[in-house]
Amino acid sequence: MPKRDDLKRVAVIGSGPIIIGQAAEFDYAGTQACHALKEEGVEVVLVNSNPATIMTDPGVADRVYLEPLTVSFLANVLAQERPDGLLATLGGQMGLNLARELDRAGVLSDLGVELLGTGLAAIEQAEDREQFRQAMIQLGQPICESQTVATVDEALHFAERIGFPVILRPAYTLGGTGGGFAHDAVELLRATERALDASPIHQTLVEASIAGWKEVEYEVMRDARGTAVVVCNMENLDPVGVHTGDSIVVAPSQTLSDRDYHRLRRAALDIVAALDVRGGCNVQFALNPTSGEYRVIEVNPRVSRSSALASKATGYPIARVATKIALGYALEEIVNPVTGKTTAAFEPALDYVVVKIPRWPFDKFPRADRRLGTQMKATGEVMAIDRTFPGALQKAIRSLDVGQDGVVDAHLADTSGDELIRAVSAPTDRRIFVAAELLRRGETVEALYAATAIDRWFLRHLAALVAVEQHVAEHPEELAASLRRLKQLGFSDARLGALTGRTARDIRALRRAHGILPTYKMVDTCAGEFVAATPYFYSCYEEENEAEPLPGDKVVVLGSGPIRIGQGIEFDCSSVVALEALRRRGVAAIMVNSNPETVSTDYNVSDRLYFEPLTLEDVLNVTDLERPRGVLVQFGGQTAINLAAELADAGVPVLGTRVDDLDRAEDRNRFDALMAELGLERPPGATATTAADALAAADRIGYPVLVRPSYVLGGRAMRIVEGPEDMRRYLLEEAAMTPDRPLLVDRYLSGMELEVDAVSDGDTVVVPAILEHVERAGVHSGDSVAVLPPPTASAEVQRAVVAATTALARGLKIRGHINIQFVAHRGTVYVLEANPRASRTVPFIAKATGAPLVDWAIAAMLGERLADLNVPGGLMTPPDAVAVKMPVFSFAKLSDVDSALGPEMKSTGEVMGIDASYPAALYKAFLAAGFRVRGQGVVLATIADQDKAQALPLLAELHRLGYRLAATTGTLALLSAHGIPAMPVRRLTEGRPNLVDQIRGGAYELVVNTITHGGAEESEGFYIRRTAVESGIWCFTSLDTFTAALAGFRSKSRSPFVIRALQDWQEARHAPV
Amino acid sequence: MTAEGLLELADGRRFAGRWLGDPPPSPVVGEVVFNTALTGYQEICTDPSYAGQIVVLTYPLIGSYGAAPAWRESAAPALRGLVVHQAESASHGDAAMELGEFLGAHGVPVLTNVDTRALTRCLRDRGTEVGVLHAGEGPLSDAVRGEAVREFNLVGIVDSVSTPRAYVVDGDGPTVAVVDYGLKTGILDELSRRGFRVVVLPASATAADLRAVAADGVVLSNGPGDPQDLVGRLDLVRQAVAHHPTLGICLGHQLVALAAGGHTFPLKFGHHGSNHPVRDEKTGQVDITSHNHGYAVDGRSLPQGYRVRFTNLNDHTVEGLELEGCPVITVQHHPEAGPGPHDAARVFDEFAAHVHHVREGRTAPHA
Repeated sequence: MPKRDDLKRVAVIGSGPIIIGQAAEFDYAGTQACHALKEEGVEVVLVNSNPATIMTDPGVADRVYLEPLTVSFLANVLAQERPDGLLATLGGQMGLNLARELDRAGVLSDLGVELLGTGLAAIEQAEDREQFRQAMIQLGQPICESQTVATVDEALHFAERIGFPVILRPAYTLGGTGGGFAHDAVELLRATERALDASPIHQTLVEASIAGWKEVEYEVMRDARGTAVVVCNMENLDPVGVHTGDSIVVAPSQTLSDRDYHRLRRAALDIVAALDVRGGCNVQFALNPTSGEYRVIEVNPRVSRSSALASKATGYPIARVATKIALGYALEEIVNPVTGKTTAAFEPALDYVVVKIPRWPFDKFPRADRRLGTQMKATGEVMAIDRTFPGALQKAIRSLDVGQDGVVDAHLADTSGDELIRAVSAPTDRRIFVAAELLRRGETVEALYAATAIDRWFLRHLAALVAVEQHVAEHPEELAASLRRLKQLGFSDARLGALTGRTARDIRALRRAHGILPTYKMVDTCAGEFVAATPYFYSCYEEENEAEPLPGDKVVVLGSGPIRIGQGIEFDCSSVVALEALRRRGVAAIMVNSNPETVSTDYNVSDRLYFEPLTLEDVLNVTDLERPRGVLVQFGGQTAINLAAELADAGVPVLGTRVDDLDRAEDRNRFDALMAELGLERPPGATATTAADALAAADRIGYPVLVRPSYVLGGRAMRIVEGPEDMRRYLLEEAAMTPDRPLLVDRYLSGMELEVDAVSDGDTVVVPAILEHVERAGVHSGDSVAVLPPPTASAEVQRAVVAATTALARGLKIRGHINIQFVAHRGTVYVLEANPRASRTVPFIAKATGAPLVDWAIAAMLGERLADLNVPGGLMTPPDAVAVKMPVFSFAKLSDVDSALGPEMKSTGEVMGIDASYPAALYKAFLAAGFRVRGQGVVLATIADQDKAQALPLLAELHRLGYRLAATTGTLALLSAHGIPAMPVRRLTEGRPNLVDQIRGGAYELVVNTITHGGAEESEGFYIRRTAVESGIWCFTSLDTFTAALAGFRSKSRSPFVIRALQDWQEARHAPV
Repeated sequence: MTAEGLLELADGRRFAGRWLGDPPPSPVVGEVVFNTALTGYQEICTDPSYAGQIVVLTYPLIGSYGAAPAWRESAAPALRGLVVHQAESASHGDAAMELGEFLGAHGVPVLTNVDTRALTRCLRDRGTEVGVLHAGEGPLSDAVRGEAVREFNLVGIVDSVSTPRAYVVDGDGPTVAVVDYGLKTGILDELSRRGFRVVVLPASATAADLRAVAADGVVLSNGPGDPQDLVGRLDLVRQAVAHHPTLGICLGHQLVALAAGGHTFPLKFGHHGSNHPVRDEKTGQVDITSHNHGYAVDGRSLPQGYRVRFTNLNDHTVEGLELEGCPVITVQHHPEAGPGPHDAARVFDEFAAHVHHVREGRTAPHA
């Protein structure tokens, strides 16, 4: 069954913006798919709204459409491009849902586009709960007693029959959105309402709970001929009940006997065959640890987060193989690229253990509910590979980049035993640390098993680690003798130092003195059985090192670790472009990263991949071995740049901007001095290392002030503080200050915010574009809608921005990237901050302008002169298109998180709208972000007093556009005073049904709510926003965003969208006028 | 503190480790092979085909689900020694004891904390080697090691693991004679599951012994060692093939080839694992199969009438034969699994169909 030759052109659907439950793994899958298609001579048409992805790089697909992922836009692209086939199984749930809608709308048959890979019937059968249930019953595969319901009554009746607790799984949702447990009728009532709302078809499954069983997953690959293999199985450390995306996962399974393993494997293969899957598929099981019974939990007939993990855990390129299968190949005809000799028809053999730990956003949302359940909350994940389980676990923990090292959480030291016991019974992000703390206090493995149902195998390892730690702390004199063993168990130098009263540097010296150096082993899919040439390595402490240092000129690129709010896929995207730029120059590119979801850890994007934590020790180990020309720290976000100084101290050359200059950009006082020297303005500010200092500084500067800790990304704990009382509260709640990590206090200047990403070689400074933010300063730049070229900034302001950028880049002797944020306040341009690295907006700018920023930056870092490359200095000619970057949020997944925008970043992803005019581009961006309006209906407005003047004309315009308005007392009074009709609504305190009931009941098309600080109104605002988010109703919290949205609505009817491939936009730009 | 131990290969290359349990009282010599299965260590340890061998497990964490009587492929471990990276303690509802206890009770030494990947790469590159496991102070002298290696042989190994006398496993269906060259229980289970009455014959059985059983079918089992050591016993094999529906598994498959005039040859480092793709040339179906063999049948040496029925997709070696027009099928791999996947279990169905057809007179045993 060789490749079909009738497929000349294939369209691929991406998964859109990064949200919780649908993240970077689909960029990895989609990019691999595009490469696999091009390799076969197939022309690739890609549609994805997310500019932060590698797959939307014009080099990856032949035709890239950064358009909203809706049926009408996709139909338009398909009509323009007339592909022969459509590949939808690589774009996550988004891709599948769109394929289904395109099919239903008749678009595919009208245009003669064939859906490739797994068929729609199989997808429906796997995804529709009732069809799935019937299919499993027919196959004789055990499932949980369950019933699909469409009403609360049905749910109650069923639960009464089978008994509580029950679990709810809404149909057609991602990341388990809207799902949950119910332990009694009252809980079930609420949970069912939520689940039905979350389901686009208003259906949910109610299922007998199997909490406490083991959760095991199988990643299966099957071809059209019926050959099927299991790529990897994985065991969740957390028993059933925690979403697999929120579970600590090990691969392969550890506590399954050969019989267990193969019984479930057989079941997985039978299921996949019955569904006629053609490509990748994930099958999840629950396994009763005592009786050995199992249940099929879920089947996902597409690539997924789990398949990305399985690919990285085994070296088996799942998306690539799935793509080849879609083109007609049989598994046995596809070469295993890792060995180059064997085929894809085999099952990888691992000779190491893999641990994945999710990365949760609770550090950003301290008030969020940390309990884990069926609704996924993690934004990203880390993976670690080692030859022992404790080794992999401890590596994974330090990869999280949350300041933790080892199975210890210092915050728990003061927590009482009772509280810990309570805490350990409920799954949370901290549970493993709580368990370790309890073991440290003498609790037994059995007691913890009773409380958690976590398999004793894992708990015993935790207990052993705790015991080892205690022994090390009590017998520091034995350290040298046991050092090799301790390193095998994954203890970092820093942790061993902390346990024995020494520094990490001391331990490193001791280690080197005793010749205890890491060895690197290869991930080769076959446990060493065949010779492989995969440049994919992990560290361990054994006899043989397989990683011979690469020959020739080479450079190490530090990645950005797990995806988190504030440090998202954008950084991975730039890292990958950097690797390509190095390789194009004949420089061997070495990647160090710990994120299994992303393109940067695909083993073929670099010359060598070290899958390692991004800590000083782990990076130094790599540089000790490789002795590269230098390390690039500008692409991996704050994670990488924070390592720069210590790497330089250890004698590792940091390429690009010198470490001292990086410090000048980050150190408040040194930066102020430079600003003064350059004659640039910045908001008056100060640093404080104590609360008293901070209060005094704020008084001196004058409120409102913007406060934030230094050296953080994404504005963590950043806030606008209105007065001394507010300041005291902030200091109490948020601010941990140390002399080397002071608090920054700045005057808050309201005004238009602007941003640039420039590249400099220290002399030539090129500014590809100026971004204008729709929201005024005060909303975090990562949460702002940004537009290029600036729609309103005056030529004078723009000149000032470019001049300041040029001066700063030269002043800081930048070699590589610099990102600068400005505010134009009363005619003056102030510098808000400068980041001497590639920022979140680099991929967006590169795509919107076609300027190869990263390539230029690499040239500068390697010592080339931009002038020699004909790179012009100053602001480049703006493109003929307008591009809008819009943030996308995951509030629906995070209960108790306020959706109001402020100086702390909250978005998880972004989309881009590109068109010939600003309103059209803006409207596209809104559509891409998921905004839907019918152009009629009721809008609820609750506007804070300080915003009423600005809101009035906007609400008036809504009225003119045909919307009806509903408003709370104050806003109502305002509207009536100006002759705008509006319906009164009840506040929370004014009886039922109140405004929250009405939001939940679907009475409103959208909500406009601005924040009132303090008092009951503040908490009411929170309820309004939360309810809107949970009910899927768009809620504007910034009038600036709302103003822009209105401009978009107006344009909707005015002119048709220009739907054009990125390649054509960029070509048009360079065409003679 | 556990004692230090060494595995020394014939060429003097050494791998250090620690003993799990007692060190061997005297040096243990065996052929060193590696197995890449992720699970199934107890099945591997009790597979009689490993007799005379020191087995290296490439999966680094061994013992995690313990040991249980139900997971044995024979009454006692047949291998000479086990080499692992990390011994784990058991956590499984069915576990009756730790793996270390089980092997210790049978005097099988277990060397742990070995860089098993380095060892595997060494075996892969240089081929299977004889090795010595010992607990002595320091390495062996070249002379001592050399002598141990020279003296090592597997002559008579099949008889050492075969049943000493015939026995019967009752069943309601037709009778199948199983010749035990080192039989795995999994094979008996597969036959019982299909209702057969099974008569197990020792490896020393003759053609006359087989005739005496009046079997409706014959299974030639798996077993250890070089098939050519058994050329003196091929009459029974010829008798089976000529007069009975026959299934040859692993060593049994090799013996069918040898009996018909074919050749076998040693593989560089053998196939030992649970992930080998095998294509059925008749149906095109590809199965993932369980493997454990150090020798293979030379596909160019097949006598008249034999066809390659199964092919290994990794190295294209012969994975099974069929005899044209006759109810004879052989497999190099292990359709009985234990350890590994059951994908190929339909080989037993095919054999069972042959037995029933012949018994019902629908097919002649020998066309």
